[in-house]
Amino acid sequence: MTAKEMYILRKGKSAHSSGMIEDKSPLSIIADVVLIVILFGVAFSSVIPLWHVLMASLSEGQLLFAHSGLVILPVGKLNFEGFKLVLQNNSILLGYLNTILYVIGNVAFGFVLNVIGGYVLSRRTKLNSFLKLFVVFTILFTGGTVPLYMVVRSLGMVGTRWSLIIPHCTNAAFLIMMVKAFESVPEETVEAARMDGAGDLRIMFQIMLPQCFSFALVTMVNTGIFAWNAWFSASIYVPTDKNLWPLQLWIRDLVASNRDFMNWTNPDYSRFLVQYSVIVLATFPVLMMFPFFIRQLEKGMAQGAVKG
Amino acid sequence: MTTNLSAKQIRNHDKKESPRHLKEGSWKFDFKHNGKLYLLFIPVAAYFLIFHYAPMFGLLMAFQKFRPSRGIFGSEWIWFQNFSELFTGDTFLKVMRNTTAMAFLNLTVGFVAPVILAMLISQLRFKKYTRTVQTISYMPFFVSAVVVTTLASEFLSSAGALTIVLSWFGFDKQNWIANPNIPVFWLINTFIEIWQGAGWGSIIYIAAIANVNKDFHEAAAMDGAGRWQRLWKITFPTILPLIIVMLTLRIGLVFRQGFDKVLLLYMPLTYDTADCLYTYTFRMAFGQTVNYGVATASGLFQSIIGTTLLIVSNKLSRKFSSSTLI
Repeated sequence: MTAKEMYILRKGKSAHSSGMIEDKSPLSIIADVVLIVILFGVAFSSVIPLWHVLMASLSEGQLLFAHSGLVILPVGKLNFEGFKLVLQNNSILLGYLNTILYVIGNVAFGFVLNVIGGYVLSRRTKLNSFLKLFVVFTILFTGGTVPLYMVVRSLGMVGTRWSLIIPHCTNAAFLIMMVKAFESVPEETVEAARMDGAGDLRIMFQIMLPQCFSFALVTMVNTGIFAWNAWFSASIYVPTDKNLWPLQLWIRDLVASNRDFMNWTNPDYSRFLVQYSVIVLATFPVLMMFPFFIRQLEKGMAQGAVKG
Repeated sequence: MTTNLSAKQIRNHDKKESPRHLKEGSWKFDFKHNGKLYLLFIPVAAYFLIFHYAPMFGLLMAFQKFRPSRGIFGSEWIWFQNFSELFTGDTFLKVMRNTTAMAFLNLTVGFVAPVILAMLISQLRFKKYTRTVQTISYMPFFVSAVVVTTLASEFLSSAGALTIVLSWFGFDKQNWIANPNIPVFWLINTFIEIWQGAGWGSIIYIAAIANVNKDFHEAAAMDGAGRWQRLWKITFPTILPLIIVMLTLRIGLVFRQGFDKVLLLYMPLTYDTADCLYTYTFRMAFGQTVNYGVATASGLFQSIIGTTLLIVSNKLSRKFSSSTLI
C-alpha cells in the first residue's frame, strides 16, 4: 500500500479533492489569516496607484490640485471634463493614432521576421548552427544606443515613423523562441505536406504555424506591449516632431509642463485633469487586454525564462 | 551480417535518389536543397546585420573624434583619448558607484521579492483568492515606464500618499524624488522595480512550486511536519536550483536593464546619487554638450561589463544546472 493510499484511508477521503493537505489546527488557521492579509496588501498596493489615477481623472481640477494624499473617490463632483478636453485635443489624438500605428507596425514586421527566421533555423541545413550563432551573438554583445542612433540616422530614418517601427520590431530572444516553437512541430506533418507539393511558404504559414501559434502569440503580445509603452526611441529619433510623437511622449511632456504649474499667473487647472486622463487612456487599454492573454503570457514567461 | 548488408543497400538506394555528382553533406548539395531557405532568411539576416551588427561596427566611434557629417570613415582617429576623458572625468567615479549600487540593490532586494511573493501565494489554499491576487499583482508590469515614474514622483512628492505614510514613521514631509542624500534615490529606484516586477517575476516560481510532487507533502504531513516545516524542508529545496539559475541570469542582465526609469526620474539636483552609466551616455549623446566619442566610449564600457557578467553568469548557471541563457 502506498503512502498516498494509506493517507486516503486514514482521512477517509481523497487527499486530492482539495488539491492540498487539510490542516485545521488553530495555528494553521492563524497562518491562513496572516497570509490572506499580506496578499491583500500586495493586491492593494498593486492596484491603488492605478485607481488613484483613474479617480483623479474624474475629479474637479482646482480641488484636485489642492488635494494631498490618495484620491480614493473623485475629489469634488464626478465629471468627465479631462476626457472631454483630451478628445478635443487633436495633437493628443494624433499621438494615440501614432501609438496604435507603431504597435501594429512593430507587431507585423516582428511577426514576419520571427516566423521566417524561426522556420529557417528550425530546418536542418548546413549553415544552421552558424546562423543560430549569428542571431544569438546579438544577445551577448550590443552596440548600444549611440551607434544604433547613427545607423538609423544614416539610413535616413530619423524624423520618420520608420525609426519607431523597424529597429526594435524583434530581437534574438523572440527569434529563438520561434525556432523552438517550429522545432516542436512533428516532422511528419511537414513531410506529408512536402509530398503533396507544398512550398516553403505554404509549409511555414499554413502547416506549421497553426500548430505552434501560441508561441507566435506570445512574441506578438510582448512586442505589442513593448511598443505601446516605448518612449525612449521616440525621444531620440523624433524629439521635436510632435506630429510623430507616441502617447507616452505626450504624457512625459504634459507632466513636465505641469510641474511648473505653480509659477503660472493664471493657472489652468484643467491641464492637470488632461494629464490624468491621458495616463488613463494610455494605460487602461493594456490592462484591459492582458487578462485575455494571461495564460499564454504565463506560459511564455515560464518557458522563455528557463530555456530561452 | 545480413542485416549489415541490407542497411548498406538501403543507404546506396538513398544515394541514388539524390542529385547526381553531389555527395550528401557537401556544400553544393546543401545549397541545392536548402538554397530557397537561405533566400528566405535574407530579410532576417538583413535586419540583424543592419540593426545589431552595424552598431557593433559603429563602436569604432569610441576611438574617434566623431562628427556625424564626416561619418565613421572620415572622422579623425584619436584612439583612447575618449576613454581617458571618460575615466578621468570627475563624474565617472560617482556614475560607477551609482550604477553599481542600483544594480546591486536590484540583484538582491529586487530579486528576493518575487521569490517571497511566490512562496506566500503558494502557501495559501484558497485557490480562487490567490489566483485573483496573482492576476492583480501582474498589473503594474504592464504600466509604461513614463507612467510609473510619473506615479512615483507624485506619490513621493511633498503632498503625496507615500510621503504621508513615511511621515507617520518620523520622516520629514519633503519631495523625496529631489532628495540628494545617499540611499534615497537608490531605494526609490529599487522600490519601483519591485512594485513593477515582483508579481510578474513570481510566475515562474509559482509554476515551479505547483510542480512539486504532492506525495512529498502528504508523506511529510503524515510524519507530522507542519506547514512551516514543509515550506522550508520541501518547497524551498525543490525550487532552489531554479532560484540559482534565475539569479545567475539576473547577474548577466543587471547592468543592462531598467535604467530608463532613472532617465525619467533624475534631475540636476539628484545627479550626484542618480546619474548612472546609461544616463551619462544619454546626456553625452543627446544632451546639451554633445560628445559622441565619449558617449560611445561610455556605452562600450557598459556593454563590456554587461557581456562579461553575462558570460560569467552563464558559466555559473551551467555549473549549477543544465539551464543556460545562451
